[in-house]
Amino acid sequence: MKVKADLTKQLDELKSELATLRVAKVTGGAASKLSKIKFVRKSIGGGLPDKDLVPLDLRKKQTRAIRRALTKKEAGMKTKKQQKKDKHFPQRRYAVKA
Amino acid sequence: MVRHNNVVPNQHFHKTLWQDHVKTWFDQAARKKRRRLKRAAKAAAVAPRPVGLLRPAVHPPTNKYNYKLRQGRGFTFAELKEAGINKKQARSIGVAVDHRRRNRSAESLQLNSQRLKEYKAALIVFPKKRNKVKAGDSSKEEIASAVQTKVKGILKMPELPKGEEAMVITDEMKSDDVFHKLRLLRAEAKE
Repeated sequence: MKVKADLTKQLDELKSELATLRVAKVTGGAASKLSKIKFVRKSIGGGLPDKDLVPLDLRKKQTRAIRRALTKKEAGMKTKKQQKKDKHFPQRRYAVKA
Repeated sequence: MVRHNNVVPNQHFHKTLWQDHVKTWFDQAARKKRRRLKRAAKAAAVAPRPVGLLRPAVHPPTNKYNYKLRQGRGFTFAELKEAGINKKQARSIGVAVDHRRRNRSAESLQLNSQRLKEYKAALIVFPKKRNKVKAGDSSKEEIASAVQTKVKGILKMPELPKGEEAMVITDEMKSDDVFHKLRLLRAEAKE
């Protein structure tokens, strides 16, 4: 498994390569370079996480909205601020005298 | 198509009938029972806490109702401070907080902070851990005596002053120019 640092480094390299290729496209570079653009673009995308990049026959169909929705875990997450509030001022057990 | 000189068939199948709009409530009894059971289940779930929160007494807006008092959403920060209750802690001991309401008069501040003080006096707070009684927690005897009560029953809304009783109108009253009096008073108040 690749470490995050390696991946980000690879991403930077790919991005700079894409930049040079785009320059080549404008200045009229060789055909081999132009065809390479697509490949580099796709490999940049491959390094980024995306739910919809799972092959079509492997992922659940559902609906577009459901696929993009937050997972149950994500939706239930609390901010650091809320966590602190909950921790320091929890619901107390109390009664009121008649 | 219809032959000869006959009516073109256009039956009104989309007509809404009065039968469609009839509302029945045969489930009234069952619904009543369901509500009662739900209320009981909720009370049992929060025991020994009373169901609901302590809410302030506020005057409704508009001329028609503003002489009355009703329950508001929550206490203002000023009222909490007056009663010595931490605004963050308030919600955890059953005191509703409203960050938007303001105290426009000293009377409302006094009324509601008094309400809070009464509540505070009647409050029994259990320690977070049974063996570790900390400051602010109630004593063992008090905890043992705790029973589930209703906040509404304990802290009733303040009563409104009663109106004037019926009386015979005297000549003096008739000759009194109330409108003029009020105008004068208003003018004085403005100064």
